[in-house]
Amino acid sequence: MSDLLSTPAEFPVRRRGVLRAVLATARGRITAGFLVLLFACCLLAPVIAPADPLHQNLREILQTPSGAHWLGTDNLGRDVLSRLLYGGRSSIVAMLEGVAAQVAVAVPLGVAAGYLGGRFDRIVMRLADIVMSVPVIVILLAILAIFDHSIAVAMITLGVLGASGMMRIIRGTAMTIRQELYVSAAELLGLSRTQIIFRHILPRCRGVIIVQTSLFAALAIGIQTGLTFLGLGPPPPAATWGGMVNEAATTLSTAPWLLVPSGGLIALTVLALGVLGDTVRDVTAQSHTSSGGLRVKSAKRRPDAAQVSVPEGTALLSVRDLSVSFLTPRGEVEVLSGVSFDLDAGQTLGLVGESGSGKSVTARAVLALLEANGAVTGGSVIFDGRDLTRATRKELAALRGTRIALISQEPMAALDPSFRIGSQLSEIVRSHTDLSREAAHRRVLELMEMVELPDPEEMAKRYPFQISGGMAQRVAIAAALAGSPDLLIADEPTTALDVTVQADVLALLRRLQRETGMAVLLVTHDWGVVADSCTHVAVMYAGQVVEQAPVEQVFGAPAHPYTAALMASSPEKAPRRTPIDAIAGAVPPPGTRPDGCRFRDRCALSAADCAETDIPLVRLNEERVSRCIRTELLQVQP
Amino acid sequence: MGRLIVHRVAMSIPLLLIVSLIIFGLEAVVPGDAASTILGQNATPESLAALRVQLGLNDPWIVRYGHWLGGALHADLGTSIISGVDVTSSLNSRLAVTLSLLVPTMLLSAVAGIALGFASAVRGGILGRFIDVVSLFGFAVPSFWIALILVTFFAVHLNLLPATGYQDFATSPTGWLKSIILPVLALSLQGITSVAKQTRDTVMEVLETDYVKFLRANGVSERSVRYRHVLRNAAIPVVTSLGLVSVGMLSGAVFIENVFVLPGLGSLATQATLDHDVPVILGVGVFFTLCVIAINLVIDFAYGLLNPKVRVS
Amino acid sequence: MKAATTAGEAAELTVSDLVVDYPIGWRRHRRAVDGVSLSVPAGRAVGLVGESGSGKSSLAKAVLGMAPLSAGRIAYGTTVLNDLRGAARPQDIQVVFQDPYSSLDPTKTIGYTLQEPLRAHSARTGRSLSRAEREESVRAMLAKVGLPAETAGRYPSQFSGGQRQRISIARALILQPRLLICDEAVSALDLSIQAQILNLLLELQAELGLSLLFITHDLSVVNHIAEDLVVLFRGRVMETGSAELVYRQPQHPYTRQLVMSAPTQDLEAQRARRERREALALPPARPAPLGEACPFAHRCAFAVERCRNERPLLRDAPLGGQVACHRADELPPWSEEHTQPREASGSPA
Ligand SMILES: Nc1ncnc2c1ncn2[C@@H]1O[C@H](COP(=O)(O)OP(=O)(O)O)[C@@H](O)[C@H]1O
Ligand code: SF4
Ligand code: SF4
Ligand SMILES: [Mg+2]
Repeated sequence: MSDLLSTPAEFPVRRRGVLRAVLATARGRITAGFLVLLFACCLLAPVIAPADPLHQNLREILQTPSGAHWLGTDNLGRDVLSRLLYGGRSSIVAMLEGVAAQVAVAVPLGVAAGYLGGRFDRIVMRLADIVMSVPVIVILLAILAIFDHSIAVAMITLGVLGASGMMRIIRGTAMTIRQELYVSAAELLGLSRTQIIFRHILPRCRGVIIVQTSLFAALAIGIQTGLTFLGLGPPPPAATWGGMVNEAATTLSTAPWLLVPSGGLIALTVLALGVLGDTVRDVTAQSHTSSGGLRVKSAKRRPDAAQVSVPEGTALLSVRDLSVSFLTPRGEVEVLSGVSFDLDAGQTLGLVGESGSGKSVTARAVLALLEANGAVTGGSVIFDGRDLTRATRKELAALRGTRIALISQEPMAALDPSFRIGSQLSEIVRSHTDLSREAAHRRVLELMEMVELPDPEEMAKRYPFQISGGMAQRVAIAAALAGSPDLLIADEPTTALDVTVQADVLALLRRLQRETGMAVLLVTHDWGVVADSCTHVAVMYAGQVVEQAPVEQVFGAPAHPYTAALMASSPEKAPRRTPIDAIAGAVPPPGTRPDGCRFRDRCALSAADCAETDIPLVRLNEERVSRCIRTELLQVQP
Repeated sequence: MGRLIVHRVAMSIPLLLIVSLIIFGLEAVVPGDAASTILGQNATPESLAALRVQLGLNDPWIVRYGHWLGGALHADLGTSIISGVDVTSSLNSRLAVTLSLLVPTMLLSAVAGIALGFASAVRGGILGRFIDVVSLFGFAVPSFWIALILVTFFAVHLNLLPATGYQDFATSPTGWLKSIILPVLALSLQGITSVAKQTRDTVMEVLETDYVKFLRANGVSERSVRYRHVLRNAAIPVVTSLGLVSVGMLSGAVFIENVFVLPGLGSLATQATLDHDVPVILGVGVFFTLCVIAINLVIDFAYGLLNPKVRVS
Repeated sequence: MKAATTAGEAAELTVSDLVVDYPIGWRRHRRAVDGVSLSVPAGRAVGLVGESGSGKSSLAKAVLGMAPLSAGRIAYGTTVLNDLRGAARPQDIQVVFQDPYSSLDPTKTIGYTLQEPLRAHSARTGRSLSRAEREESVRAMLAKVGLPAETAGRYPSQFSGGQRQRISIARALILQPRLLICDEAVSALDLSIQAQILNLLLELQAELGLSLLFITHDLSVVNHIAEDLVVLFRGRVMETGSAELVYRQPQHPYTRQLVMSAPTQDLEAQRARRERREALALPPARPAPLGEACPFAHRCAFAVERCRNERPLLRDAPLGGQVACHRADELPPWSEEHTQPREASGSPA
């Protein structure tokens, strides 16, 4: 156990302050730098402005930029740059007023509503719903009429009315955090609500607060300049950004240049605030998609040493030296390194291993369904004599469903929530055959009966959210069987189900396989499932297959130290309430895998040789391979 | 679904009350009133007092609010304190102009925004980057400024379209079309880009869901995956954001009407603000609130149609 | 380790006729726990097993004061816990949750997380601990769960699931509770890590004399760690007894189905289980019975008319323990193949 900390976690990122993280990005530095500079210049306008913003010089009107007037002069001969700097002051003050009002309203209400919940939350949300629908502009106009063109009052009102949006988001965040288990733990350990709010809720809301504040600041600038553009702010000749655009509009045909400095500066300021907000969002929150918006060109495959000569065996599916990499924000990581295994028609191959070993990636790579940020970088997937890693989109599309089908771990997530079950199944049936609507419907009912779904007619009319997980997995199986595939890839098909339902689904899969003779690639982490359903096993560790053999041989005597150790870690293998033979340490995540044998840090048999070179798959008998150079030491054990 | 609509209609009553109460209440607490606005700075105390009696300004504000509300229920929103014109009728005559600006803008934003966002999400690459940049641009550039740029270019330089003014559809359909093209374009830029960005994000998310993988893996054609399943599921959040974008467009309309000198509700409200003419602003507030309610109803209806959970229960 | 807080005497947790209802919408509720009684004697390990939705976690939450009680009584020793909330609750009962990721505040160092309960505790009792004393407690506790002292200065994101679960255990133990509730505490972990944590829990239980209420859906795990078992189905207790008895000689049709359905990592034994299950003529899928009926009647191969009209009460079972089944005496005998664990020498690790 002493080496526990030597295996870093999946994302060994040190937490930094939001500010530091933002400044670490180029976008963050540029936008923050621009804003600081702008604010400083406006603040120091009386000191640094080249001219008096109100000083008219009718002999120098509408000049274009020059050494004397960097940004030219306006229709009364006033220096544009000076007017911009002075005008910026009122915009910035207005923005600060709006933001302060918004934060003062939104943060306490949002945190309280999210954390306390209940009736308080309902009332606040109801109110926010109404306020969200208030046409803010009219209220602002009324305020300006009543308060005699006071931009300050208008901006504070804008802040209060605009707070509902930020309030909702903070409330949502606070609510999610409240459900986090560490908050429950803190409550149980006797912390008061105030302590929990200040220590655990607010710090986690910081990110969204900053994001929303900067977006709102951008909006406030937009509104303030709009109002001054309409002449509703401080009366002329005072300089305001909006007012300057308005003045430029009067000389549109003679001096279009004048539109540029004022409008451009407004746009830049709003842009900087908006981009700053986006940057904070990116550094504080995870991306929505698993690919994080990253894409790689699939052409990045390494040139193979030798183009594999296609059919070397009789296997239906033959995966050879398959390597897969993902592009992540931390660079490219190799997730699979030379995965090889074979699967014959009618067999069930269990792909076993701990999480992160690459089982699911292997399953998806076989179907050429990696996420946009992943790519096969080497090796081949020979299915029925053809290399699928080199197949065209069209060829793949023709195979999917009819030759190879897939079911996955989350049956509910596998069904489109917006379509009825019958219609989804019917679409899949019709994409394999050219049946009429009615014929397809009959076939759907047949399939549903085949997977033992009760009352198919009724079930076909339901939406996925109206059925249980076990039924959803049966629907998924029906969909996969629609094209009578030769190979079914099942990625942890029963992991999310209760044991009794799991037993039913496994029994169903066994029956269907007997009846159709298809081969099954069954991804699982459960030795019991392997014992129940598989004819062969391939054990994966850290992106490689470490052993492949028929189940009898593997359960009889494991031929790889990892297989043996993983089997021994099961609580079934130790007498009640005695220590289990646990493997020390944890699976090294991609990017931190040791050279040589990847299991050597945790292997009881490891020796100096094990670190020297990459360990090849060693053939032990006709049907058995192992990625270990010291298997003979294992064989002597009982 | 029915519940959703009923809920929305029920919420519109407090919404109208809140909007009118804010404006009315503020006016009541701030010193200075309609009488002093009408008579200006040289008014004598006697004439002020007389006018106050005439306008009923000596009643407590809640009583005046009650009067106003009673009138409003009968479509009587009072009279302008500057021109003495009946507010309801002057608003009615201007509503068509504002709707001529808003409705095409909303449609254009929805259609163009969704199409661009969808295309950039499924095609990625250059188009995706382009949409990202343009949407930042749309976010940052003030609509009144873009309007002026459009005027400089299309009206002043090319002389293709009128720079300002409005033509009635009934008198001249082509004149109407010409008079709204630039305003609609100027107002749409923000709408299109924010809808496009929202659509792009949502579609990218849907493209990586398990069910899309499942459909592809089991042989459903890419065409159907995209245009049936992805589009349909992405539509739900996009429609919600369309509602917010449309409500936000009301503010933009006020600026745009001023730039193009369109005789709509927004320019009326601006003039009223300059004149301190609160009854007119209040009237515009009521009309705008009704617009928001209409937008929300349409959005709720679309949401209900798209989301089976709402439809079934 | 120097006692930072005074440890209370170990006591028995007794839950009697507990009912938990969650409100769903307007004036409706869902019953999650439906009249459950159980006890966790001082120093004993009790396992609570059942499928998802059977009410395991609701029961744990009720004991922790985090679920609405509609009826029943929860007592720890002589203290009735029913209406105690927050700081008023005895700190003798603590919990380790399933999800190692949401169990730790990502914005706080491990040291902060572990010291926080100590600070709150001294504020409550007025016995303030010096900073050095707190740090010493944290170090000692980290050593106990097998983590080096540097752990205190790091953030949760730097640890793997198994390491985080060790930290959660350390936090739960830092106020020296007497009863530890483990709600699916190893379910999210991989086999090899799960084994490490199970070993740690057994070790700590022996060393500190803790009582354990161990909740899981995994029969093999609960059978390994628990001395007594409680089998829950749809919010009701189906069977209780010593773990040995319940696992080897299940006397309730539901428990039998659970045991038959759980795949075992032994080819022969698994084939036997599978065949036994296939031989059992299970009724076709039907909706679950409501009201006064056996909650298992719709899935039971032995159901008769009476089962659909009368709720079976928990009563003494023929071979010991208790079952809630009308036909417990008539069930065919059960002879599960004895899969004695092989001596642990089978692996080199
Ligand atoms: N889209 C992706 N982007 C980056 N990394 C990924 C992606 N998908 C999987 N991985 C990484 O690949 C490794 C193997 O994952 P997976 O195949 O899901 O393992 P298993 O199924 O065995 O649990 C993990 O470290 C995982 O984080
Ligand atoms: S190669 Fe060496 S380290 Fe790797 S499994 Fe075999 S004995 Fe262990
Ligand atoms: S009471 Fe009846 S239905 Fe319930 S478990 Fe016993 S035999 Fe089965
Ligand atoms: Mg997986």
